[in-house]
Amino acid sequence: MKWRLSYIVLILVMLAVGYIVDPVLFPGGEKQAEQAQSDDDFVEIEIHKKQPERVVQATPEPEPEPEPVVDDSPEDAEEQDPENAEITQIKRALGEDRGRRPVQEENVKSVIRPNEWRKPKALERKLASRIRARVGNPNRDRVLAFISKPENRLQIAQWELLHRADLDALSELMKDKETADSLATLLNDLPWISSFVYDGEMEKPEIALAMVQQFRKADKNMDHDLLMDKVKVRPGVKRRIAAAVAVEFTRNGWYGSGVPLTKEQIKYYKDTGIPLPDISSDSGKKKAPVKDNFRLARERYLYFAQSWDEGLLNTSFGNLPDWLMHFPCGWKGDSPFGTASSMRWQRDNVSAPPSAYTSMGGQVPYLPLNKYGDSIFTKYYYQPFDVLYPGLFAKETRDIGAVCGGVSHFGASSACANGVPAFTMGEPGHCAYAVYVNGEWVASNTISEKRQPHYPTWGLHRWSALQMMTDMYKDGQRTRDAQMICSLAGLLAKNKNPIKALNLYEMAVTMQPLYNPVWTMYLDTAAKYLSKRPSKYLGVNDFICSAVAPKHPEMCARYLTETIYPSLLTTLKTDKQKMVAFKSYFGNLNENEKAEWDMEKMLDMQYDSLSQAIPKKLDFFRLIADSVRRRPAFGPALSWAVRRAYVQKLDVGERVRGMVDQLLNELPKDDPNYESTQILLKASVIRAAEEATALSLGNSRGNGREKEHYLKLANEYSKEFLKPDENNLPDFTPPPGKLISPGGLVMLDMYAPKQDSIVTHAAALTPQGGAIVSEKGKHRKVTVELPKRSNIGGIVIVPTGNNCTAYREWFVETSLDGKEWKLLANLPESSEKPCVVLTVDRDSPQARYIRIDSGAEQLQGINFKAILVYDNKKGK
Amino acid sequence: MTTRKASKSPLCTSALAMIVATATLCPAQEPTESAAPSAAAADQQQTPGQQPGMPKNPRRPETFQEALNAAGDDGVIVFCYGPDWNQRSVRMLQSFWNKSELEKATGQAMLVAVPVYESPTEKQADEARRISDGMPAIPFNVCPTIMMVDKNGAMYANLPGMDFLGNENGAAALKNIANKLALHRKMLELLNKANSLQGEEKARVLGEIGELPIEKPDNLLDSLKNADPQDKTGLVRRNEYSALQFLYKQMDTKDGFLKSDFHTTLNDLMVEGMKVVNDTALRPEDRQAAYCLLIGQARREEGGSKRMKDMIKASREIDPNSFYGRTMQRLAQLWSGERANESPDERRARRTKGKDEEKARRQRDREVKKTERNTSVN
Repeated sequence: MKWRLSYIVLILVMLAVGYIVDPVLFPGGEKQAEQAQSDDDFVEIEIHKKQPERVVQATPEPEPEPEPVVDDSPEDAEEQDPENAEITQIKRALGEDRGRRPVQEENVKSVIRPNEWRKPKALERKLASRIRARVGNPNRDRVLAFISKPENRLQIAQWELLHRADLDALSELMKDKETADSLATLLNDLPWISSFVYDGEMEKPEIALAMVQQFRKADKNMDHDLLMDKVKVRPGVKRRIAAAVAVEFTRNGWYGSGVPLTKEQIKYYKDTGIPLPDISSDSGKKKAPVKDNFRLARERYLYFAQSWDEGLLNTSFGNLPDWLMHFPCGWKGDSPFGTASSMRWQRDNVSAPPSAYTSMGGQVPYLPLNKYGDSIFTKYYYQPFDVLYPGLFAKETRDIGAVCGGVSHFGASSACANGVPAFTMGEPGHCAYAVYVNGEWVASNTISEKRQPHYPTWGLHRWSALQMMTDMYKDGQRTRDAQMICSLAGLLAKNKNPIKALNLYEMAVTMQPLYNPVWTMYLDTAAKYLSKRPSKYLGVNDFICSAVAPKHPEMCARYLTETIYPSLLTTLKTDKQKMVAFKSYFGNLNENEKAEWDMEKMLDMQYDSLSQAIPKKLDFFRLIADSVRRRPAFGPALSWAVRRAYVQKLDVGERVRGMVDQLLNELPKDDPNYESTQILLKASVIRAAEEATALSLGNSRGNGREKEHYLKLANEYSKEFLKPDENNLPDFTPPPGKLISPGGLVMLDMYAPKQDSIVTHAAALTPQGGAIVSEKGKHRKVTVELPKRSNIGGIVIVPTGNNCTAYREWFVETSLDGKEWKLLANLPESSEKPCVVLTVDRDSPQARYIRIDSGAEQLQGINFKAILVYDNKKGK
Repeated sequence: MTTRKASKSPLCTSALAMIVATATLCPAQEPTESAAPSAAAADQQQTPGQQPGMPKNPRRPETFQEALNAAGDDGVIVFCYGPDWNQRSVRMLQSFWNKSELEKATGQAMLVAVPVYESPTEKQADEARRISDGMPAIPFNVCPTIMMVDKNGAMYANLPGMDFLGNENGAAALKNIANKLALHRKMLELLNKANSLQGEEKARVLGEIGELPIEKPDNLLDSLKNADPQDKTGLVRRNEYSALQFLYKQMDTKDGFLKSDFHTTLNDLMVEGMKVVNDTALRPEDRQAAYCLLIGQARREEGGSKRMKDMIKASREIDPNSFYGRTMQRLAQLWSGERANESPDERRARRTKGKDEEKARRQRDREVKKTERNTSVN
């Protein structure tokens, strides 16, 4: 009763004094904002001044006297080196300067009885009030002291689990006494529950727990490590396997297609009260049929648990950090490569040290056709042989053959089957895979750095997101502390303490800026507060840029464009202030970081936020040019600038071009970025030409002077990238006319900057072949403007890559003016042959434009090596 | 061990070539914290095969090079194991490799155990290099693996993983090793015999070597051609024939894919195909593979069902127990009466889809009727 009384007293005191803690962790931005405003002198913005913090000392437990909160006075902030301010803040937050030692994740005595777990709603309330009472005034020192105690960490993790669970479903699950007893032991085990809650993406905890209980029923020895005397690993390997499998198999967007539930299975779930697996698609619509994730998950758990007990997995599996264990445990469960029998075969026959898995795909012969002459893209490829390989798809693939997809799946699957983290990933027209070797992800069977992992990280299929998550977990203790603090913040936010919550979110992001989810929570909570304080927003902007941009530029740009800019750019009133914000990003880019990502979205957003005054626009171009010079981002940023200037037909176009030429001249020819920059700049001019042409189609000016100019440039530049000795097109018999497409212009309705090699567009209209790639989507269109009006006698279309030969219901149209289109022909399905040859036998239509529509069924968009157009003059 | 000759696309081949090159036997790395204890334990253990306090066993030298120097006709048998990562192979050292039964079953072959480390200490890496020096590369570094090497250092058999080694007690492995060793001896015997013969007689003996299920000498085909330049025995054809190359030639592929303007009919393929399937000089499996192409084409062609059934039957009769022979019965069910064989769900989906597609198709046909009259598609 004592602590309750204290708690009531605390609340009363807080209400009385108007408890406000003003979070100021980003002083750099404030300083910059002040500077920018004094220069501009345009409008009064309320500059944030330090509010004296009123600390209420009314905690129920005698805690060590907290040191004064961060001294965030503007004077001190000004004294600090702005560039080091954030680092100092991080150090302060961590308490490193006071020699704080990291907390060990030791187990603590059970504090929640099984009976209490049976009433999860009451338990959540109880935990929340207990935590609030114990943490008291959540200033930094007190919070750090609080989370340093294992029993407190346990309660935070327990509350977080309950907070994110469907409590009605959990209550239903815990009705069964045996289940409650069994799960309570796990839920009171600090290492287990913190791994369960924080080391993966726990989206449906109640279903995951039902799965864990199912595993326990199937494996009575889950809590016993039979190998402990033989192999030195962290204890509780099978418990950790259970957590990893359950969390992965209950994720939204868990990859692979579904397996329908049988009536018996549905009855089983209803009888036992276990919630039915119900996976929603990304769009929110339910997919049918439902996946039987329970069966698949149990199979997967038993596979790893038994294999581990029998000492058949790679020994390092037992010592994998829990987050890495999610990769093999969550390996495609409903893929034929992910069945227990297939994985067992790979475990027994493809066991090797991790580095060797990078070459393991080489065991599979690369055979697009099987012995029956059937293509790999048809169901007939493996069908004749299935009878010899029941449940052994990996073995079948090795014996019969595959193309890049099978090769990469074999490599990744064999690694996962042996307990080595790996995953497959998409590349333009290709499938590759990656294996975790010596603390790094090593890409294998790869042809491009434009990678999209099939394993989703924070809902993103981005290589950069995966890299950031890897870096985050490598800094394990700091990450876990930040996660705990984030939970505390969530608890306070839920209890209508937004200011306190904001304080803690700030602390969490400062402690671990790579922890992606906390940014969203922080900025959501902070939206109202920050919108009134542009200086504060600038500080956040600067902090993100300095902490994330150097190593993870793409993720940083994502933070900025998705969470910061939408609010920040509306609160900043002058272009100068905005330029200060933009400079933060470019100034922090690392010199060695590759710029293999779509920078244009961010640049567009920044550029469009500026006023229409041409000098300001020029300033922006200059800012980019100066900031990224001699960095890999130089090329992409400048190419964007050139294109943007041209397309908008601004007066600045020529001036920007002159500036770019000058910058390019300044760049030494031995600079490692010289060639790529040149290519990108020229590509930008070509794209500008293409886009300008596309724009001109819709207006009365038609073929204006600009277009002719662009066309000339595009063809001039493109010629540099033609390789006369390299004919990469398949053999075909051309239509009996004269080739008329060379010298034409390509226009896409949706460019794909990440995949498209724009400098070879012109080459794609010649027999040399090039590449034309649009963003994925239905009815993507590519238009070819021919050099002159002609009678069309035939068209040859060559799709790109090995997996892009499945266009269906696609068609080609012609037009004289680019506005009115007539259907020329429906094209046949291109599933087995590398190109389509269309011949117009008679009544050849006259046209200046040819347009190909990728069709309604496919989501792959335009992905062509060549579009060759012939006239109808026989005899060439 | 059969060898697969696969044509790879230049795209993937180059990528794979690079990654194959990265797989080294014992990469020198700093030991990780996790692997250190077990690696250290492995470091302390005695040389596999040597009993403590016992005199050195001459059949079990320490290094591959020593073994090769001392090897007779039975060559060297190598056991590859992963001391710091693969417990099964370490257990097999005791349960199988170090047993005296192995020595009895392997004639005069020298026996060497080669460690393949994941995270070796510097000392372990040096030791592993010393032991494996001069050894052929372990295919994909798979462990446990048994490699059988002749006295010249060339591998004549590779037994990777448990498909070949059975379980940990090694009974199946012993049997397989003895079998491969017997085949190796037989090959040496036949080679000796062939050296004393000329012409077709020599070719026949060499032909027997071609049938042995172990790696053949590199120059076998050349020797056959020299011995029987006119191929009167048919053995040159038999050993030269490649089912894959036949397929690619008949289907006129580029990088394994069909060319865009490629059209063929069953009748076209029958001309060359029947020559192969009726050539009894060729191996039964190769003849069946040629049948596969004809069967596939018959399935793809309208009205080819009857001929397909006949060919499936004929193919099976060549050798019902071969790889292709065993698939034929199921194939007859699958492809001869496919719709009768589909699941109720598949049938329902097909019918629904069919109706919708038919509607859409009719609509589309009406719209494009005129334009289609004027175009033809290859």
